[in-house]
This record gives sequence, C-alpha cells and structure tokens, in this order.
Amino acid sequence: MKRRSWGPTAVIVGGIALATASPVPGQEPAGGTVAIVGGFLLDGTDGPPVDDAVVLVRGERIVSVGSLNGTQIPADARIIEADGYTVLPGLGDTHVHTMIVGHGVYDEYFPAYESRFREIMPISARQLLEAGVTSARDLGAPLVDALWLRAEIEAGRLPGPRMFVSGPFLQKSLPPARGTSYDSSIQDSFRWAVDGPEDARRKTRELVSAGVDVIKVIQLAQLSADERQAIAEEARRAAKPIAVHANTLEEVRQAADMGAASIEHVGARPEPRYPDETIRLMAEHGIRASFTSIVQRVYDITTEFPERVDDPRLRSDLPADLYADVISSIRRPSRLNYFSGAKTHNRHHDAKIRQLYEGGVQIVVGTDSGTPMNFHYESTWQEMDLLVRAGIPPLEVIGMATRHPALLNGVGDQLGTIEPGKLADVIMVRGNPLRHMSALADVVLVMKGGQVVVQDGEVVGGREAS
Amino acid sequence: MRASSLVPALAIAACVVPEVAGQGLRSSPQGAATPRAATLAIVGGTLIDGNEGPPVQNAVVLVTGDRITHVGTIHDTEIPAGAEVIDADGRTVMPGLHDAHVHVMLVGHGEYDEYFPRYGDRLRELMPIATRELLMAGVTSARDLGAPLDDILWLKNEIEEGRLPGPFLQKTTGPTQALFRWTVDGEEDARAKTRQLIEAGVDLIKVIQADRLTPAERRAISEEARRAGLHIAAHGYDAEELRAAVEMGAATIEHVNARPLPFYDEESVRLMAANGVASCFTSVVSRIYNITMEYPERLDDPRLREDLPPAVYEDVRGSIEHPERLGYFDQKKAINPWHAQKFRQLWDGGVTILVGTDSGTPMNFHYESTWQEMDLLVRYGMPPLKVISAATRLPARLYGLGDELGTVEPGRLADIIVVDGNPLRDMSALRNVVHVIKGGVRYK
Repeated sequence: MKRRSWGPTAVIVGGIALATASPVPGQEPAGGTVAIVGGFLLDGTDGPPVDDAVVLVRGERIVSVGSLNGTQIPADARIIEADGYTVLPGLGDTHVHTMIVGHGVYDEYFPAYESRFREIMPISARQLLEAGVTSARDLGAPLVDALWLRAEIEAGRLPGPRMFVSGPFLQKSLPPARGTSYDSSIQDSFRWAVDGPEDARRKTRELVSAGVDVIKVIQLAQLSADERQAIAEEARRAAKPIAVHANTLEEVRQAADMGAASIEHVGARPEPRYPDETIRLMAEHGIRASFTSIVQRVYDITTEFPERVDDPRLRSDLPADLYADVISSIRRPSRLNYFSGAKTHNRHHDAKIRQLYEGGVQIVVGTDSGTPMNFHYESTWQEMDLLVRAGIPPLEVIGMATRHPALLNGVGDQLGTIEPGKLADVIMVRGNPLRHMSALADVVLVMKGGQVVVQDGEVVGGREAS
Repeated sequence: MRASSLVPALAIAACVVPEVAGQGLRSSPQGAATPRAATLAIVGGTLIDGNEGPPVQNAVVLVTGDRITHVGTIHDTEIPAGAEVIDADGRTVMPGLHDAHVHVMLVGHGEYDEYFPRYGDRLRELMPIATRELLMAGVTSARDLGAPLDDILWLKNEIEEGRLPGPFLQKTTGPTQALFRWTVDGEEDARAKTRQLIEAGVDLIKVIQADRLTPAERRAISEEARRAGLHIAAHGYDAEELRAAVEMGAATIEHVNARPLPFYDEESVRLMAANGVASCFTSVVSRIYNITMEYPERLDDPRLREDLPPAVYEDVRGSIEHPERLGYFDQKKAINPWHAQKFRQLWDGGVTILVGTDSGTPMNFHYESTWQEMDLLVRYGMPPLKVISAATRLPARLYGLGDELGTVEPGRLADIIVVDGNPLRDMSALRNVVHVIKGGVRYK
C-alpha cells in the first residue's frame, strides 16, 4: 500500500496485528466493523479497478467501499491487510454437482456411493469454498440431500458456499443403464422422470414446496408441449428460475417458450457453430448461457498434463477408499466414454463462446464441477481462464462469475458485487486475475457474510473442524 | 540497466552466478550447505527435463551428493532405502531456472541517482537479499551483468558453488557509478582492465557502447576474453553498436533493441543469426511499466516489505510511488508496443533467445521477474517448451556448462525445481515454486 497517512500506528490503535491477517473464528464481534484495507479491488461491476481500496464490513454486510484516501477507518475496526492482493466478490458457480467428485464412470460411482452422499457432498462444498466460490448452484442431487446440505451450510454447521439447489432434475425418461425398460415409477434419486402433464405438474410442485431454488429440466424435446408447459407454469407461479439443457435449435425454442432463465452446457453439441437463430433467441429472451466449457475441455487439459489428477488436494480431501476408486477410474482418460463425443468438438468451443458473446447472450460461469476429472477445487477459475482464452475481456469474465450468477439466482441486490448494502462475500487472491486468471487459483482469504471462513486456502478451524 | 547517457562508455563486466543464499540469510538451506551424502529422491512428478522432449510422467530423479545420478519413472526405478523423498506427485519437475541478466546490486529502486549514493556502501547487505529472492523464485543460475568487482567477488565466496560476477568498464564514468563501470582508454588500458577482471575471476566480460571503442580497444578486450575462455555480453541498442559487438565476438546481445522504431533493421537480425549471437531479450525490464500500471498493487507485494530492511523498503517503495513519473521508463514506454513484433523478427530470423530480465531495475523485482519474462515470451508467440529451454539448457550451454547444468539428466549438477501446475499451459505456474534444489542441497 502506498504511503498511507495513517500508517502502521493506526493499525496498532486498531489493536490488531497487521502483517498477517489472522482472524480467529468466533472473535468477530457481531456488528463490529471489519476493514479490508489496501487491496486492488475488482468490485464485480465491470468498472475500473480501485487501487488501495478499503472495504468496510459491519456484521454480515458491506457498509462502505472506497479508497484509502477517502475512507475513515473506525478506530475499533478489525483490520484485514489486503495490501499486495486483489480483492473481489466471492465467486458464483452456476453449475456444480456436489454429489460427485470427479469419478470417471457414473455407472460404477452411483451404485457404490449413493448411500454416502452426506459424507461426500460436504467435501465438495468445502472444496468449492476454499476455491473462493461463495455461491454455487447445484443442478442435480437427491432432493433431501441437497436441501440438507444447503441447511447445514446456512446454519453454519458445515463450511461451504451459499447453495442454490435444484434437487433432482426433471426429464422424460430414465437412462437405460438405470432401468432395463422405461418405467415412470422408477425414480432415480437425482433425476425424476415425468409422465404426462399432471405428473409433471405434481413433481414440479413437490420440488417447489420442498424449497428448491431452481427447477432443472433436461430432454426438452422428449417432453410433450403440455408437460413443458405444466413445469413452466408451476415454476413461474413459485418464481423459480428454470435451468435447462437445450442442445438443438428446437430445444432452444422450447426453452424460450418455457421462459428458461439459463441454458446449461451450450457447448455440448458437435456442430462447429450455432445456428444464428439460437443466438438470436437466447439474446432476445434474456436466456443466460452457462457454457461449462471446462466439463469437456478438462479432457484436453488432463491429457496435456496427466499429473493434475495426482494433485495432493484430491488425496487429502477424499476418504481413502473413494480416493483410490476415483484415481483408478480416471487413470486412463482416453478410455472414458464420458469424453467420447466431447473431445472431438472441443476445438469449436472458442468460436462458439465468441458467437454467444458477440451475439449479446449473457454468459455466466458454470462448470458442472464434480463430473469426470473436473474437480471442485479448481474448476471455476479454469472455466474463467477458458473464457479469457476464447477472447472475452477478463474484467467481464469476472462479472460473469460474480454479478451475473447473483442476478441469475435472483439475489442481485444481495450478492455478486462489492457495494454498500451487499452481503459481505469477499475473496482475496494473490496476483492480478486481469492478467493471469490463474491468480484465482491462489485464494488467500474468503469472507462469507462478514465471516472469514477460509484463510491461506484452507477452511478456518482446519479440516477437522469441518 | 540503462547505459549511462552521460558518457561514451564501453564496457565490460562479468559474471555468471549460480544463486544461493549466503550465510546469515533468513532462508538457510535445509540441512548443511554441503551436498548430501544420502540420496535425495524426487518422486512422482511430471518431468520437463530441458531437452524439449515430451514430459515424462511419474518421474523419479535421484540425487546423490551434488549430482543427479538417475532419471527414470516410478515403474523402473527402485528408490534406495534411506533416501530422503520429495513427493512431487501432482507437480512439475524442471531444471532450475537460469536468468541470463540480473543485477543483484539493485532491488527495484526507481531512481539510480538516489540509490547509488545511498546504498553504494551497503551492497553487501542488499546483494544477498537479491540472490535469496532469485533462488526462492527457482533461479538456480544467474548471470550478473554489472556490480562492483570486490563486492561481487565477496558475494561469490558467500555463495556456495558460485561463479563470479564483476563490474563493467566504461570509457569515462560518472561519480556515483564508477565501481561497476570501468572506462577504458586505449588499447593497453582495455587489455589491462580485461585482464584484471579475468584474474579476479569473473565469468564473462560485459561491454557496452562497443561502437564507441576503437577497433584496437575492441580487439584487445576480445583477445583477452577469448584467451581466458570467457564469453562477451554486449549491449546492442542500435545497428552500429550491435555490429561492433558482433564483430568483437560477443556471444549475447542484451536487451531488446531500444531504438524507437517498430522493427529491427534486417542487417542486425541477420548478423546475430549468422554469427550465432543470442539475444537476451529482457522484455520485462520495460514491460514491467505496463504490468505495473495495470496492477499497481504489485508494488505492495508483501515480499518486498518482508525482504528489505524497513528503511530501504520505505525508500524503494517511495521511489516508485508514481511509476508514470520515472524517467527510467520515458523512452521504454514508447517502445513497449513493439516488443512482440521485434521478438518475432528475431525468432523468425533464427536468432537464439535467452531468458534474461535485468532484474533489480526499477520495479523489476528479483522474486518475480524471471517467470514474468518467460510469460511475455509465450505471449509473443514462442512455444512454451522452447521458452523453458531458453531459461535452462541454452544459457548453460552459453556459459560452457552444458555438460554440468541446464537439464535434468544423470551426471548433471542437481539444480532442480518443483512447481505447482503446468507451465506449458500457463507460464504463471512458475509463480508457485514449491521446492528448490541446487547442487543437491535443498533450499526450499
């Protein structure tokens, strides 16, 4: 920080050691002021960065944002020294799956681990939080487990991002692997098949009344118009956004008719570019694109650098038996059916991302993290890095991972930017993400709702505490 | 650093220096400063060995004493009982980096006219800080191209396995910079001073403003250097200086051509390529201005504050408070937009590129200069694997140490780093140096 007039003495007056911010959990006085002082602020609004910024937090809210020159730091404020770091809003990932952790073969994973989701989902949540993700939309998990995880995190019993959950997604039929013949009475825990408009309505209502935040629908073209309409009506009545898979122009039209808020995995089709009509429809209807490039590009990244699957974090985070199983399942990425289609058309991603961007479609950062080799602890910044490599200005990519997810989640007035009145979800990273998005891999501190929850890359209180 | 604008100078100087923290530094090697007797095993990482071959997964590198004794994989290598194991799983193993142009007497201060009078007598306090910063950044070898002879000789004694740096000569000198610029006047003087450097033990001779030397002076320096088996590093700010440097047998031309023109003249590129003269491009020395203006926060890096004595920190930090006011960058700013195309000219013209940074110059801190230069070269279009060679194998070869350093192979000195991430995808992975081993000694 530059020649601050108040100097180190002011800090001593504040009564807190400065050189290393060392907040202790439980010591943050509710309502006391915390000052994040001296960092390089990217506030999430796409506005110019602020050098030597001061962010004042009282309780769970941001109360003031300014620069060192213009901000009065209360004498009793607890100081978090941000000098030399970049300060930005906590990241929002609009597409994660906390029930999975990178295992390569679903047909093996689900039968083996479905009963252990309450052991596994908290691990994913902690990985996300340690990666600076303070809001995550979980688009596919068993209903009770998704709600349980959200509640445990909200209550402060588990460390994790603020969860926006869909519970199970709705679709027309279950995959053959999960039932020898289609039978609408067979319900997968995280995918519900619907049969007829009444069934669609009933199941949507069930999700709504259970308290999900978003309704996810896949296989749009297989659903009847009546079924789609029933789902859309119930979601609209409950003011729940709809997230859909929509791979073809026909499905994009159907998504628009349903009033979908976002289309997930827009990159999933093999065609080298989108039909112009797809772009036009999405732009006109304000349907966001959660491109989730990383879910397939992680194949390229891994074959270029197979070492990444030996990341010590994977080993230290997972129970030993699960770790051994995950590692053996992904040891030979080229054999994974999961990537059989993806790897051939990954090369079109950049052009398609640019098509969306130039066509005025709002892109939001989503990763599908948890899918094969797509680990929660590094997926979000990798997706952001891919968007930059595709040609989107880094500052806008930051907005796509902060402000826009909050808007999509309907909480744009509460989260997503560092502005007075917002909930204090703030992260500190080492380096300049506008120059190297990989700086986001280096999370120094995470504050969620005014509480420091991650320090030096680890959940405060240690692994055991979580 | 900038050539003196006051004086028609010429030059000299010298040094190659494997960096190592000297005694009394905060970061002492783990274990004795003497090479290990027990075997060190670096196990499980992906090895980029410096030879530009495909990376090797699950590599095992064994080190005994100060040498690499075996390079294999976990499938074909038995790890000796009692070996000290470094778990490199999930990480990249590489040769220690070489930075072919540093100034350990400088630490990023913005105004030389203030710095040298103030700190000229404290270099023995500051130089070890610079070498430690380099080493912790994974730089296990560095060419120091300008420092007072006795100080840099002292530093050598403090640095184990050190090779030597020295001052550079110039024809006339300003009062504050005499110690590291020696002027030469006449053939005999040039010969005498070159010999003096050689006898003192420098590793190379640095010459600036070669075109202002007489042919006889150039020849005298060149002859003496050749006789001692030392190479010459020279500046080549314009076509005339570059031609004179090449003619006197310079092995490297330091810095991007600084003329305020968007391209090199073709003759300069041809001369370098045809004579095997390498370019130590040092883009970061001036691009650091843009990097800082985009991200002023880098000046507040905690490392700067932690590494320097408090009063020196305050002074350095104050001197760079307003980067846009620094005279040092006045001309450089104008040329920065052309670095990429000038680089392409050299690269396409077949000129060997070496990674060098001029680290220590204003705002160009030792602790992050080398990887920033490597990152810039990638941005200019140099293939990442080639950039790694330009920071490992190629400089070692230049120093005549190609059999000793620069690659991870059996028989080489064990200068090895372990980094987090894949530098071939993102050179900024080199920000995260997890382990540093130099001459078999583990420093980080």
